[in-house]
Amino acid sequence: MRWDAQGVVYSLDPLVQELGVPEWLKGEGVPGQVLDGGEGERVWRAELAAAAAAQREPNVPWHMAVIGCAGAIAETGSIAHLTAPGHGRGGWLLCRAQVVLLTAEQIVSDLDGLFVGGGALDRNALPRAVTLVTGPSRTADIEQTLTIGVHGPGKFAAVVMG
Amino acid sequence: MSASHEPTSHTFEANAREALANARLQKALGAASGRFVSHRASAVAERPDFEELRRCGHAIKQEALDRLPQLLEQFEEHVVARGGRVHWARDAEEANQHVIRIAKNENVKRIVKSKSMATEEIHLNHALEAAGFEVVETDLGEFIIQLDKDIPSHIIAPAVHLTKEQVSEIFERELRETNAPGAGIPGLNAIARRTLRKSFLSAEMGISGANFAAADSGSIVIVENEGNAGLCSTLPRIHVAVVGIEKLVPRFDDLAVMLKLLGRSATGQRLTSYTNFITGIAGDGEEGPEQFHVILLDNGRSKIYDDDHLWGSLRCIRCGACLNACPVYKRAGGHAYGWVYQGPIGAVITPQYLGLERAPALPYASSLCGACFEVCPVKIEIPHMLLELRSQVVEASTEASGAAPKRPFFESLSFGAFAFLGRRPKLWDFATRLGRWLLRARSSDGQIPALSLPLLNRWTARRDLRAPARETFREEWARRRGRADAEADA
Repeated sequence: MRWDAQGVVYSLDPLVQELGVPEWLKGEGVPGQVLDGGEGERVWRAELAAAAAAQREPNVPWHMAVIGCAGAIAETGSIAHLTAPGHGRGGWLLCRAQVVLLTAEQIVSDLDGLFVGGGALDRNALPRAVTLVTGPSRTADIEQTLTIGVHGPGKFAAVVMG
Repeated sequence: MSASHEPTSHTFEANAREALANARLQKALGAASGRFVSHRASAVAERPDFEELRRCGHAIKQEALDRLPQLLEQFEEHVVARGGRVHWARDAEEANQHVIRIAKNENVKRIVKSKSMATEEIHLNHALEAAGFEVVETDLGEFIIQLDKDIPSHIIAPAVHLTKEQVSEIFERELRETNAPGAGIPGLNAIARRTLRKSFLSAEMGISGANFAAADSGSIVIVENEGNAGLCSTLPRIHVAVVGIEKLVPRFDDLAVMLKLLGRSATGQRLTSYTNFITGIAGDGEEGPEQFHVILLDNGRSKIYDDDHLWGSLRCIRCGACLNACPVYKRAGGHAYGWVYQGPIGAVITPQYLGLERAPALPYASSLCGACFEVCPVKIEIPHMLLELRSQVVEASTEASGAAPKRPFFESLSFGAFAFLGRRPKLWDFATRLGRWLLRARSSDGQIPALSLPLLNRWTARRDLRAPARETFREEWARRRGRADAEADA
C-alpha cells in the first residue's frame, strides 16, 4: 500500500510514541505535526483555514494522520478513539488518510465488549467524545452510489502489532 | 418545491399522481430503493439473533417511554454535571429562540450543521437565516437540498429524488462550478468537500441532532458516514444538539443493542463509518467545544404520548427501513407525503404533528401489506396505527356532517348485494353455482386470464385469477357431513 503522504500529523498516543513515529518522520525528512492542541497545532489549523478560504492546497502536512486507539471491534473492523490531551479529534478528521496503531490485545469480538468496565465505552469514564471509526469517510447521497472521502479521511488503515 | 415549504400533506393524492408522471423521479427512486433493500437484507442475514435484537430494541424504547419524565430529568442532571446545559422547548418557536439566543449571546456569525430531522421539523435554518446568521448544511445530501432550496425526500438519504445530472446542474448554478457537469459522482463529492471545508474551519457554532440520548450518562450519540458530524461537534467552540424527547434510552449500555439495529436497518452497515458518543464539554487539554447545549424538543411529542393507540410511534429511531420497504413510497417518493417525515412512519406521525385534518389522505397511503412492520427495528405496529387513523378520519367526517359517512356507490352496491344474498341461503347457493359455472367456463389450466369486466375492471384487467374450486364450501360441507352421518348410522 502506497499513499505517498507528503506530511504526517500524529497524536501523543503511547503506542505512537513507543514505536518512535515522531523520530522516524524526522529521520526520513517527512514534515510532521503533533496534535497536542499547542501553538504548533494552532498555526497548523490557521494555515488549513487560510488554504480552504483561498481554495488552495495547504502548506502544512495534512495528508495522513497516525493515531492510537482505546479498543477495536473484530466483527465490524472498528476502532475506538477517545478524546484526551494530545489525542486530537478534529485534526485527524481533517486529514486525507488515517492510520490507526493498535495491539492485538485491544481487539474485542463485538460492540458489547467495549461497554464493559475499563473498556472504551465504560459509562463511568466517558471523555467528551468517543468516536468509533469504521473504515474511511463515505457517502451514498447521490444516486445511492458509494463514494469514499467526503469530509473525513478517504483512506483508512489499522496496523495491528502482534 | 415552493420556497415557503408549507406542508402539502393534505394533497397527497395529487402529489403522488404528479410523482408517478415524473420520469426523472421514477428513475432516481428505482435506482435507490433496490440498493437500500438488498444492503439491509444482507446485513440482517449476518446476525442470526436479529429477531432477538428487534425484541430488545422494542423493549428498550418501550421502557424509555414508560419512564420518560423521570429519564429526561436524569439526563439533564448528567448533562449539567458534565458542564453542559439543557434547554426545554415546547414547540418549534421555543426551540428556534433558544438557538438564536445562544448564538447572539456568543457573537456567533457562522454556523455549520450536520443532518438532523428534528431541525428540519422546526425549520431551524429558516429561523437562523431570518435572524441574520449564516447556516451551512454539511451532510452532502442536505447541502444539495439547501443549495436547491428544496426539502429532504428521505429520512436518511435527503437527496434521493435527484439524479447526478440534476446535482451537477445545482452545483453549476449555485456554486458557479463550471466543471460540475460531467464531473461524475466522485467529482461532485470533491466539490462539496472543498466548498464545505472553509465553513468547518471558520464556524463558531456547530449544530447537530442526536440518534440517541442516554439518561444515565447525559451522552448523545450521532451516527454518520461522512465525518461532518464529528467535525461539527469538535471544531466550533459551541456545540448545540437539538434532541427530540423520544430519543432517550434508559441506560448508556442499551446503546449496544440500538446501534446494532440502526446501522443494519438504515443503510445495511454493521456500523456506520463514524459513531460519535458525545458527553459534556471538553476538559483541560482535551479537544472539543467550550460549550455544549442540548435543546430538548417536545413539539407535539407529549400529545402523541397521550394517545393510547399511537404512542408506540414514539419508539421510532428514524432508520428509514419502512420507507425502502413500502410499495407506495417506492413509487410516490418522499415529497408526496408533504412534510419532513415520509413513507409509512411519516403517514403515521405526520397527521399527529400537523393534525389529522391537514393530512387526511396519509393513513390511506398504504396497502396495509405489512412490509413496514416486518423491517421495523423496534417493531412499531404501523399497519394497525394506520387503521386506527383511518377510523379517526371516518369518525371526524361523521361528526362534522352529523351523518354516517358516505360510501362510494360501488362499495354500497356490493355490500348491499352481499347482505341480501347472505340472508337467503337458497338464493346464495344458486348465485355461487352460477358464478362458478361462468368463471370456470372462462378458465384454462386452472387460471382465469386477465379480462375486462364492467365495474371490476380496475382489478381484473391486469391480473390472472385462480379458477374457483369444483365445489363450493357449502357443497363440500354438506357432502362430508352426509358421509359422517352415514358412518355414524352404520
